[in-house]
Amino acid sequence: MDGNALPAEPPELQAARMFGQSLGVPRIGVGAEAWFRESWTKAAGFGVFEVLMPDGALDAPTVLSVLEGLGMGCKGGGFPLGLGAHCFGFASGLLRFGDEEQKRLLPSLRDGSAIGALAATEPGAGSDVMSLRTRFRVEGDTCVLTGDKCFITNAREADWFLVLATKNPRLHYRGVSAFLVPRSAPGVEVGIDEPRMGMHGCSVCSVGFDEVRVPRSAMVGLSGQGATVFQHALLWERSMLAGFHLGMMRKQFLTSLSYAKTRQQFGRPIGAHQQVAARLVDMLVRYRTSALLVRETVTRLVAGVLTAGEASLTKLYVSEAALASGTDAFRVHGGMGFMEGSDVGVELRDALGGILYSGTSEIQKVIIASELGLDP
Amino acid sequence: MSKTQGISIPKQWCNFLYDFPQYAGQDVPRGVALLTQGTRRVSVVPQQPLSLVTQSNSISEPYHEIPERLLELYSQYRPTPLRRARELERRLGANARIYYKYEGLNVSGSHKLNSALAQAYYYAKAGIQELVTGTGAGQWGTALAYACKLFGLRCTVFMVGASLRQKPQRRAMMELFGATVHESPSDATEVGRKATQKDPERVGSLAIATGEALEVAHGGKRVRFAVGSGENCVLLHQTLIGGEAVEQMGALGEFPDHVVACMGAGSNFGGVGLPFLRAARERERSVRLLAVEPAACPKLTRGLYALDINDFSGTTPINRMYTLGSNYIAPPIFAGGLRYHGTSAFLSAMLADKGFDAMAVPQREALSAGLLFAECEGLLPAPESAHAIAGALDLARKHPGDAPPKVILLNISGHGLFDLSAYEHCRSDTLAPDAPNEALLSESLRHVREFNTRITGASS
Ligand SMILES: Cc1ncc(COP(=O)(O)O)c(C=O)c1O
Repeated sequence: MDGNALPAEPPELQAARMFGQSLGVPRIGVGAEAWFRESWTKAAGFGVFEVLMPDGALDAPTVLSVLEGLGMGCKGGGFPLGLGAHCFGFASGLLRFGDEEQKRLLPSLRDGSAIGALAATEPGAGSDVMSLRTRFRVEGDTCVLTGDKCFITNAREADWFLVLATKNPRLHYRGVSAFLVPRSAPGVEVGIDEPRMGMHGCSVCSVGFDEVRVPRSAMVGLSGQGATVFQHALLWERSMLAGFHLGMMRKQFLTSLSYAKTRQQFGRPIGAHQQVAARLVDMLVRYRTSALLVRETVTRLVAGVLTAGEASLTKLYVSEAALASGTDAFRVHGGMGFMEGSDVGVELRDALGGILYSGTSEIQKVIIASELGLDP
Repeated sequence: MSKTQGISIPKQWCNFLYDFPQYAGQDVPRGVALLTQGTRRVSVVPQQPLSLVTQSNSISEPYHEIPERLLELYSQYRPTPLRRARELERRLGANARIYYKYEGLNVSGSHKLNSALAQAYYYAKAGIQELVTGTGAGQWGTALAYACKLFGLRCTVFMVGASLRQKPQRRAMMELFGATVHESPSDATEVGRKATQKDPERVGSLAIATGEALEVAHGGKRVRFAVGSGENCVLLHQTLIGGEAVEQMGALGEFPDHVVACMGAGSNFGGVGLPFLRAARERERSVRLLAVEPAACPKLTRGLYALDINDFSGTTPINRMYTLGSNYIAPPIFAGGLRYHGTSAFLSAMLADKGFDAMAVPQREALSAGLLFAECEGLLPAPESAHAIAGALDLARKHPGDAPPKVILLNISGHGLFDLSAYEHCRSDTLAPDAPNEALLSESLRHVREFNTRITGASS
């Protein structure tokens, strides 16, 4: 192991890290939307969407570098989450299940001129799609959607929503369909960007659908295939978002290591104290283990052989590792980390978000257990 | 797809980094990159999209696929001809067979279109709406203007003042394709205004023009700086030249002993030469590449192999390369494309390992060689390309008559139809002196040395 025990940064990782750094600190409140839109345009120009949702096959090594580099360079996990919601939550389903007409949207999603959001979660239904309350009914060639969604990432800026709705809750998952709904459709109402303790750099809002009429052709996949579309989106989101966490962990390890080597207490660097040293070792072990896991997961995802349980396992392990390392980094930095706006403070709050979005750790365990045949 | 001499356009670019991974990385000491980053740098968006970053760095694949759309556009003017210069051979009476590849048959008049099309394609794909660049002789600017027109991008060009005044037609050409053209140093940028104070005649240099373009590129959201040479991705796009030439020579039953090209920052030299290095390895043959530079801007033969910045503003990342220092302003020779102070980092590393040869020729010798070529072969080469001819003539003349004949391939990187005044001055013996300003040169080199001592000292 050399000085910092990390594998070298591939060029794409380096470029993505510098790109992330160039965006600066996300605004909160006034100016937040302008910051987001400007950063989005820059991300398109840097080719982020080209790499994360290409015309042809994904290039796994480049994807891994870009995810990790963005996770490292961006201030906090909010903006990467917004990118993920667009590329994985929204577009992955379209790429897999969309028809020719629906796929015409893709160039605008790639060049940054249109933004997408996945509208699945509801006050009473998170990972449990069978409890969806958003309904649709068919009137000739039109589908009419009504219901309320919450915690929708990117909703403030989204031009398109991929909406999950059920024809009849009694049909369970077979009743669920997915719809491509333009923001401009009458009856779509987007709430405010919810104030929250972390994940700044993207928007999270409620979205209401009140008798929203879309043509039958807005349905993505077949009627009753909505749950499958949703599972596909989650598979992508869970695998890929872990790549962002990885970057954050790498950065935290490096800054904590250098802090531990320079900050003096009792006449020596704090890293010379065993308890601090042990934290850094733990952070390194978590980072390197997570890196192996993410690499394998993304490679299997690209090959089309990844199971839902495997994606959940990676999401579970890496988001918990990121939280544990976030706590370690916070402790290593002592009082400095507690000051408003400190990097480790921001990152710790965002790491808390990480064990919630795209399914809580508890839900991931349920999914993994069910793949083990341990269904209740 | 069109065929010339029985060959078609390569479907792939030749990734020379795969052959020479040892020269791929940038050996910039740790910490230096950070030290040289001004506070402004940190907020600068990386200028290249990831597709080009990969092309500039990947060592894992021997080829990069050329997208279908680009192949279509390349077929407007490729494959370019490769011919034997029989009249020239006769006139020389030398013991050599001389072949030339001719890149002047497109609207930009040079090889520059090979990369301009590729870059415009990738930038447009990433949603960029405008490209800004600096150009020396104007060929790169013209190529980019045309490529931008095809892909619906706006184009802004800063052209080195000395060259612009020599060749006003170049400006007209760029404007024809809708580009906005500034004479550099210009009053449009801070970099330009600062440079004008030191250079009131507005002779300019590519380092200044590049600095101006970068300043503009930082201003806008969907604007990026496009680079005409030196970077690995540009060399990669130019490997079309060598890729075709390997096939064309093969069809004639030939393999060159020497491949000769002029050196600006290295794109036509690398483009024609690097595929031959691969072919030589595959076929167990040997080939020597020769880079020819002007005596007025002798970075390969008199420069330092050192860390240096690429543009006058110091915004671009530093490279270890053969350089005369970004403060060096070469005499205003007609081969404006060869006045750049630095060299491709990849090629520099290779030269430091003696992986190819380099020579410098004075302007008069180069232009005379160009005229001789024109008289014999009926093609007027660009003054830049005339340097390659001078190099090839030198090789041919030095080869002893009783040895097996030498096979020489030279690259004519562009035509000289906008450079008639250069050839007139040559014929009438009224060329201005082109020897480097020795005081300026040694001052600039001293500056590079100091810069290196300072940053390597500070980073260790
Ligand atoms: C005709 C021609 N040849 C050669 C060059 C030198 O550039 P490079 O070294 O990138 O081939 C130029 C640059 O402007 C040029 O216009």
